[in-house]
Amino acid sequence: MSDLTLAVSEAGVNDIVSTLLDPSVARVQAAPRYDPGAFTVEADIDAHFEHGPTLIDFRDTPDQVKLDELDIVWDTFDLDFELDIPELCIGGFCLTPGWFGDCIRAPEKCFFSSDPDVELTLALDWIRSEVSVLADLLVGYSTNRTTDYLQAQVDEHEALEALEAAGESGPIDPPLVNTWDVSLHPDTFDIDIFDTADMIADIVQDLLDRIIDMLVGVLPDWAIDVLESLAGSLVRFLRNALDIGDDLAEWLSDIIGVSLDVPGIILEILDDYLIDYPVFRIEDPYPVLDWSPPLGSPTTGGDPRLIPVKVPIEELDIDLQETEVVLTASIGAYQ
Amino acid sequence: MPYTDNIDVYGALHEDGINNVIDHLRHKRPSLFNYGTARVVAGTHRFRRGSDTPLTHRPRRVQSLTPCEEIAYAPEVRDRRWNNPLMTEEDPLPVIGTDGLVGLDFAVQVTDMGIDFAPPSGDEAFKENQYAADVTVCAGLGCPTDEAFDDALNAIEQFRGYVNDREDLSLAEGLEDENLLQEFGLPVVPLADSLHCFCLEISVIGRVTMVDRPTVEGPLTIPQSPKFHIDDIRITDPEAIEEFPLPQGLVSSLECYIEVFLRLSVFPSVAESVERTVQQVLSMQNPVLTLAGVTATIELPTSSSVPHNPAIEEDELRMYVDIDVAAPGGS
Repeated sequence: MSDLTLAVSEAGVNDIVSTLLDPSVARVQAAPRYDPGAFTVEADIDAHFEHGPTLIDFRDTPDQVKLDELDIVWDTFDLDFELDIPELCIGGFCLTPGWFGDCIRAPEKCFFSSDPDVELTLALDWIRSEVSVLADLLVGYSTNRTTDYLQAQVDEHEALEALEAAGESGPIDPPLVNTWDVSLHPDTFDIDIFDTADMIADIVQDLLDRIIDMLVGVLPDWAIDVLESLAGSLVRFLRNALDIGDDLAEWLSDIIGVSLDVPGIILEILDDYLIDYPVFRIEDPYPVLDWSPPLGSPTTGGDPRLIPVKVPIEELDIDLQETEVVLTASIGAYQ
Repeated sequence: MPYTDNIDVYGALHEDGINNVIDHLRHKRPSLFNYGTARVVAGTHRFRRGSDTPLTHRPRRVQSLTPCEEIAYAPEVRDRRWNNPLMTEEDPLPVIGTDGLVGLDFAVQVTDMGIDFAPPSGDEAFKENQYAADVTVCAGLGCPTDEAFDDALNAIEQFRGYVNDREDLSLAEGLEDENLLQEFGLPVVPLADSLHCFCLEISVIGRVTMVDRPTVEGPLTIPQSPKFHIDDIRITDPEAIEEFPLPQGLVSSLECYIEVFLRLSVFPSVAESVERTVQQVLSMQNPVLTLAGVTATIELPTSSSVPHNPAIEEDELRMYVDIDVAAPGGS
């Protein structure tokens, strides 16, 4: 028989998680940038989470928690492309030597002198992404201090006195406590940046059309001819410059998924709130009474400072069932 | 059957866990359980730790009295860095009719305390959803030696004679004049050889309810905590009562004094420690919720299937909680 039993229903956990993922609490906000050279892409992203009524699903065998189909709604998802094409000058060659050793040169025309030469913003705020996570619920023990009770008390006392001597006040950072932690450890992640994969080809084609249109507007036909002569074709040139492979969708997906690491940003946000971070933590030994008066506060007269009363948490177990999670703990007897 | 049918959170504390907490309190804050006058506090050194007999090989410290029972304590309590007291020092017990000029040494010690969430079912004294607590209280009075008694009497007579001779000084004014009292060695606590001690087994019966209480520091706003109420206190030491039959009025008076002592002194401190601990556990020391600044309020609903909430069942104190969580923005 355990000394403490704490059970939380799946519905209760869903209520709490829904609150944690409320737009006023959790948002995905970042401005990642990918700058390999001539081609630069920067994203301005701001998103919130949406989900159905049962986001968290408890699994009994094995004990796992599923974060099921969490939607990421992009309120802002602007991809800013910048292309700096190397300057290309035509003409300026020596027609005939001059009288004084110089040259009479052909007229010179330079292109792509601006930096960047092409700027495009692609607004993707109409797309939705989706995350699903399957995680194990595990119990761990973190040791941030000695497990010797008396020595720990001495350490705490001395650390506070050192702070006082330095003219600072507590608490001690990092805290000199050991903790039982219940954490979610992700087993599988499934992040689908584009909920509908087919849309991506249209996006990329649109992007290329706009780049080509801009270039066509800037360059005279003969220059296009020259470019084509230099690069084979403008599209091939752009493909080379942008390092676009045969699959346009894959290219844009790589830009967002790998170069800008948007999934990593999403995971980091989830890490902060749900994943790989204790969802329940209890100090061991658990403080029942603090120092009296508390460390950092002066004692009155010659009165001693009463030591804290802490009780050891000897065991802590988690049992996940279909409808609830049950935590049990044992309080150690005084020895 | 799941613990959380129709509710969000279920919490249960087994009596063994609470008794372990009380045992830790007894050893690490002995001054919560032991009270005595200055001489008795000075006499606590006479017990060697782990022994229930006073030391005899050390010279007896002048004007100190050995407490009734050995005080169990953790070694860190007497560590020189903190040098915590084993007893709470109290003023001497005033002798009636001496205008507070004479007091007696005494000690009152709670030597054992344990909660029982499954009181005897056949006992009519217990109602549904009540708990019992067994407490052992030892107390003793320092009865003065004849010599000390005479000294005290002389001091009082001399003081009263002096005040009578002074036409400009009333007795009330004299009693207020500390310097004057000091000149006559008053107030006086006549020396006793030892405390006359007795121990009684006390049974406490009570209920647990939820009461409003300031929120503990934590990620969840928990404005309530369980509270241990005392409904009745009885002396349950049949051997002592049979061996020394006492008038019912004396027994009742004794019970009354012990009840007041437990209600106002020991019990609130111990109960509040347990109550606060439960409230802290319910507030969930959860770094995730701390990060999010989420607040939550709780309700303990009752229903036909849960007539009592909190409920005392099967050696446990059980709570069935509905939790209402809100984001900082209030959504």
